[in-house]
Amino acid sequence: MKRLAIVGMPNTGKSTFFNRLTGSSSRVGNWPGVTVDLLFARIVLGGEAVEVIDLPGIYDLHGFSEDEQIVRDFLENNRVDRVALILNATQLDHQLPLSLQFCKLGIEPVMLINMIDEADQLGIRIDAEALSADLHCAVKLLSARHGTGFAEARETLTQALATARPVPPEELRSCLHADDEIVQHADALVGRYVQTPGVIVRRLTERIDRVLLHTWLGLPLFFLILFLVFQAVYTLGAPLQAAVAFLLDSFRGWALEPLADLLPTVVYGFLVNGLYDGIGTVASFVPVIILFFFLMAIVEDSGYLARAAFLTDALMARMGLDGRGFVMILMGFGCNVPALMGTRVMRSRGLRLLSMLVIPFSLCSARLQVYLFITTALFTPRQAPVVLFGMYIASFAAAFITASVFSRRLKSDEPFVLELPPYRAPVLKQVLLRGWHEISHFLRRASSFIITGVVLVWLLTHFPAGSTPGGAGTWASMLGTWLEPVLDPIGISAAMSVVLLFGFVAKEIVIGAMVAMTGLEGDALNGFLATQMDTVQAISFMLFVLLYTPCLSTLATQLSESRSWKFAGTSLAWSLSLAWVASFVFYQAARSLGY
Amino acid sequence: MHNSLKHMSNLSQLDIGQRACITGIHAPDGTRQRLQSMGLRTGRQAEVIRNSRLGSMQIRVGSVDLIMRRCDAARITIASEQ
Repeated sequence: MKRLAIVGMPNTGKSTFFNRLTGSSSRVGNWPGVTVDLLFARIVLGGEAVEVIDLPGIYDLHGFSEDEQIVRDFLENNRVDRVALILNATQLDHQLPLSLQFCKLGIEPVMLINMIDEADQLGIRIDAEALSADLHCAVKLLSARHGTGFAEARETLTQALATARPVPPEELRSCLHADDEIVQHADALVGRYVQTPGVIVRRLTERIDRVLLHTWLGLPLFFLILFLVFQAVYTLGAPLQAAVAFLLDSFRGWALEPLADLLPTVVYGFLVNGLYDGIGTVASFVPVIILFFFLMAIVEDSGYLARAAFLTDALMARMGLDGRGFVMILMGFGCNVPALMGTRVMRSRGLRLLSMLVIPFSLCSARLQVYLFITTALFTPRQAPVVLFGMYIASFAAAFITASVFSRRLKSDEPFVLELPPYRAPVLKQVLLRGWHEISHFLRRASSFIITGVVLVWLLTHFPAGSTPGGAGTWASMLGTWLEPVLDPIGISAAMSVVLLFGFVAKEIVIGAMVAMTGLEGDALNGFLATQMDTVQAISFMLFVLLYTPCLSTLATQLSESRSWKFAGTSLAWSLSLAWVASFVFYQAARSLGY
Repeated sequence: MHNSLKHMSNLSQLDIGQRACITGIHAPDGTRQRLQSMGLRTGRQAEVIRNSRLGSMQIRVGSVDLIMRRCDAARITIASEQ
């Protein structure tokens, strides 16, 4: 099989091109010599199977950042038949040095000059044929967003692959070193083959930025946009969530419940009450996550995230983080897992680990569900929103405290320099494809954990044989008794501590676990809750739920993204201690004040 | 314009709308390489587009707009234009 690597700088539309070339068939995989997963797809080009790999966006083949190291490691350890180099037509002066670095290695990349539509609008003219003749490699102009020139580019790639003479990885290893002449050569090429109007003016972008990056209005507008995104997630997500829950419930009644007579009680209980109900609880939550990913894809595609980083950087700098970290914390209010993955853009390991340590304190939508349930059951309609708002404040406070405690250990020497792309109208097909990639990766990773967790919960509440399901004598209640010395000082009862154990797997299970344990629903469950905790205990419980760890998926993502058991362990130990101390201080203080 | 003898200064000292030629980057190797690969190279013209009161700047180098902290911009020396 031939192998084609897609390379380019960030903001060149590299992923857009990859998506257009490979459709929705891409997956992540491991490669020799490379420490992170890379996106790849197998497609057919000119009757031949071709493996296409999307390498991380890099500015410099010789740079010191993690992404640059990944690209070098990949090229040094894997045979590549062709390199497709994606360039941004509007900034060739900035982009050509990277191409020349590849030419110098004897790789003969196929140069695909993208965003030709934008370049046309700006009055930039590129002599692709002359550039191709000068550099002795194929040069094509295209717009990957809109498809202009894409068919020709694809044809060129097909031909280039047919005649490929791959450079042996061993040879590349010996000649990957820096060279200054390249920049002068690039300047000469731009002077000869690219006609640029004296001054490039992006009127629309400048006009929008005059408002969105305004000295005083910038931040308030940022929070307004944020509020609208979350508002959209909840208003559009709630009916979808209800619809999925309804479908799952109907299927249960129609197809599964008749099985009760056919299967042994234990097997039926495990399959339906355990596995199906457990996974169903989590599955009903998926539409909200999907919606969140699509909205994030739109915001990201528009170029606004770089502006958000600009606006919040000063605040974050005081905590040893940077503007991108704030954007990730905000993404964490939807779901912590994609926010953790978003830290991949950070080049300094210290900065990235610090951001990943802070993100799990973002009050995610799963924790919000638990809070809505508890505040409705135990507080007056006037108190409830105040308590909820207090939890959001606690969430920010925990992030600030964590960052200031660890910022001395996880130092960053990374300069905060970020490209500010022009605003672009999102293209529906690209947003859908992008959202789909994120969602499928999320589901694939999360599903194994959720299934394992659900099975465990069921076993704990139903064994040893002969004990009352969910009641006294089960392993779960034994665990509850063991935990009493730790959780009693913070006002959490034995039954509730079992719920906390389940919540460790996923907060989505917390309410379901209460239902399963007590067999109660609606007002009866609210009544039960009132026997388990008063308002002080409820706040202590909610604080603990906020801080002790978001879910197994988050922990697994921290582990897979950091590739360090020590980091994941530290994060877990820190959040458990912080949770206990916060709840202890609150609970004991409130009690001693007579509440 | 004004005092043209103020020839050695750094990028963070420019006012909005002012342009200058980059003369050097005073930073450790890794940081310098990173700034260079983003387009901040000796001999290039840089223009300040935005200078936030909170500590970030928007710089235009050739066809690329960058945002960076004022403290990082201070590592880049410039020769003010006449």
